Amino acid sequence: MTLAIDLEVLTQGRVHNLSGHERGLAAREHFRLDELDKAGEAVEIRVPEHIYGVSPSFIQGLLSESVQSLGSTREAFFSHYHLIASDLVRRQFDRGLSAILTDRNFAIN
Amino acid sequence: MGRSKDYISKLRGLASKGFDPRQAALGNPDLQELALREAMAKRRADIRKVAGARSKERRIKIAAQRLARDRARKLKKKFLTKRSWAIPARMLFGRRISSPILDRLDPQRATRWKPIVSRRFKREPPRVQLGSLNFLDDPVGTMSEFAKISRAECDEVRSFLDFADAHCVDVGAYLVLAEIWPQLAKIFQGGRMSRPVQKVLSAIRLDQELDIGLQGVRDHEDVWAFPTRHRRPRGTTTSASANLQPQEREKVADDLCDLIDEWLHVADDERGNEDLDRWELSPEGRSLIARMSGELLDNAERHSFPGSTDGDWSMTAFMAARPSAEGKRELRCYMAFLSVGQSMAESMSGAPTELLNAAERYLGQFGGDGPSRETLMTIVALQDAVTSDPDATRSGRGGTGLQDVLELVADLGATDRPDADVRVTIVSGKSCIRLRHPHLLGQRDARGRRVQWCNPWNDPRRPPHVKTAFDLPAHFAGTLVSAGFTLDSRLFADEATEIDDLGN
Repeated sequence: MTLAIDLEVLTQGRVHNLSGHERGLAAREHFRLDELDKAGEAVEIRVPEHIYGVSPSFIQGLLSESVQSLGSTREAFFSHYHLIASDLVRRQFDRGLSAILTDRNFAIN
Repeated sequence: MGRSKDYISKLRGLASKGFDPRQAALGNPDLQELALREAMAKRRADIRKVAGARSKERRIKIAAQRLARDRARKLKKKFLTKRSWAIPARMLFGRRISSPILDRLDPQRATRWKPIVSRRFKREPPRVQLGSLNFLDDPVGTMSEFAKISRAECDEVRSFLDFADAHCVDVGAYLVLAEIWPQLAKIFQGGRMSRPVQKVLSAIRLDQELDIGLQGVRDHEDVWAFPTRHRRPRGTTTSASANLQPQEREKVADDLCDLIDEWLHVADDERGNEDLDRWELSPEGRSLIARMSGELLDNAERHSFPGSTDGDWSMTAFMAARPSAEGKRELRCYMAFLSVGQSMAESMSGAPTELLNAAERYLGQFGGDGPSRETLMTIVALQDAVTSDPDATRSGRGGTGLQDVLELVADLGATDRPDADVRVTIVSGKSCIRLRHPHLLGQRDARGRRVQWCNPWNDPRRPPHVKTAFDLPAHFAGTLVSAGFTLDSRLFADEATEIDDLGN
C-alpha cells in the first residue's frame, strides 16, 4: 500500500484553500512527516481537486523540515514526496519550495 | 431614594454647566420627573432672584412669585411637549474606555478626557470637520484627522462629524474608524457625508459597526463590497487541535473569491453579455486572492499579539466601477487588513541575535540622518527571510509573507504593464511604508531573496526615499495594510477559456 497524506483532512470539504504557518506545522505533526521523511518508499501528498490555493506560509510550515532533511534540493524532495495535485496547486508548491530554499543568512549586500 | 438623591445632586451640577435637564433625564420616567422638578425649582429660584421676590412690598413679592410659577409651568409644558435629545445614563456617568489605537494616536487622550458630567454643554453642537481619510495616500494627514476625533471625544458633550471625502479612496481609514468607534463616548450625533462614501460604508456594513444611519443610501449600484470580517478576540483559542480545523481566514479567502466572482458577473451583465460564457475569476486569479488574503491574515495572527500566535484581525474590501482618465470604466479595488497590538518593528525585538546584529549594521549606516530606527527596522522586516520567530529561522521557514503579499497584489493589479496603478501602504507603529508601482515589488538579490530597500536603486547602502519610508507623527498600535489597484482584466476569464499562468 502506498504511503500517502491527504490534505482533505484539513479542509474537511468546508474550505477550498489552506493558509497559515502554524496550520502547516500542526499538519506536519498530525501527518507525522518526521517519520515519513525517513520512510524507505515514496510518499504521496494528495491535494483534492477542490483546493485552489495553498499559501507559501502553509507550505513552509508543512514541508521546511522535510526539504532540509532530504538534502535541501527540489529534486530530492520531489523524488521522495509525489505531489498529486492540479497544475495550479503544483505551481504553488513550487513557489513554496522556493521560499523554503531561500538563503536565510540575513546580511546586507 | 438614596440613588435619586445622588442623581439630583448630579443634575444640579449639570444644570450649572449649561445642560438642559431634559437632556440629562436619562431616559427613565422617575428620573425625568426628578429632573423636571429640579429644573422647575431652579427656574423659580432664578426668577425670584431678579424679579423682586425679596421686596418688602407685598404686591411686588406676590407678582414675582406668580411670574416664577408661571415660567416654571411653561418650562414644564415645553418639557412635556417638545422632544429633545436625551443623554443615556451610561454615557453621562460613563468612564473613559481605553483604546489601543486612539490612546497612542493621541497620547493626551488619557489625561484630557473628562467625564461627560464635567463638560461644558453647548446649545449648538460643534462640528468636527474631517479632511480626507486616506491612509493609502496621506497617512500623516489621516492621523491628524483621527486626533481631531479624539479631541472632540475628550471635550464635547455632543458633536457633529463631517466627512470631506467625495469618494472612498481608502477603505483602511474606515476600518480603523470602526475599530476605535466602540471605545469612543457616544457624543457624535450625526454629520455630513457624501453619498458615494455612504454607499461604500453601507455596502461593507460599516454603518452597522458604527451604529449610524446613512440616509443618503438608495442602492449599492456600482459598488460591490466584502462586508467587514473579524477574527475572534486575541488569545481565545482553547482547542489544541484548532489548527487542524478550517480557519476563519480560509473562509474569508473563499468568500472573498466568491464575492469577486459575483462582482464580475455583475460587470458582465453591465456590458450586456447574454452569452453563456460569463466572466469569472480564472483559477489563477482565485488562488492569488486567496493566498494574498491568507498571508496577510496569518501574519496578523502570528505577530500582533506579543508572545502568542493567536492575534486578531479585521479586514474589508470593496470594488467600485469608476471612470478612468480616458473615460473608460475601470474596476477599482480597495482592500484593508488591520491587526491591533504590536507593530512590525516591535515584533522584531524577539528575532534571533544574528538577524538583529545584521539589522543593526543596516541601521548604523545612516547615523542620525533619515528615518528613525523604528522605521528602518520596519524596512528590515519587509525583506525575504526576515522573521521575528527564532524557531522559524532555525528551521529555515517563514519570513517571506510580506514579499508574497506584494507579489500577489502586483499580480492582481497587472504590474507587468507600465501604466498600472497599484499602491500598497503599510502603517505600523511610528513607521509608514508607501509602495507604488514601479517600485512596489522587491527584486531578487544575488542570493535569490526578494529585497525591498525602499529607494529607487533598491540598495541597502542608501537610505530609504523620504516619500517611500518615513516616520509618522504618532504611534499606530498595530499594523494596517491598505491596498488599492485596478483589477487586471486578464484575471477575468470566460468560463470556457481559462488563461495561462501569469508568470509565476
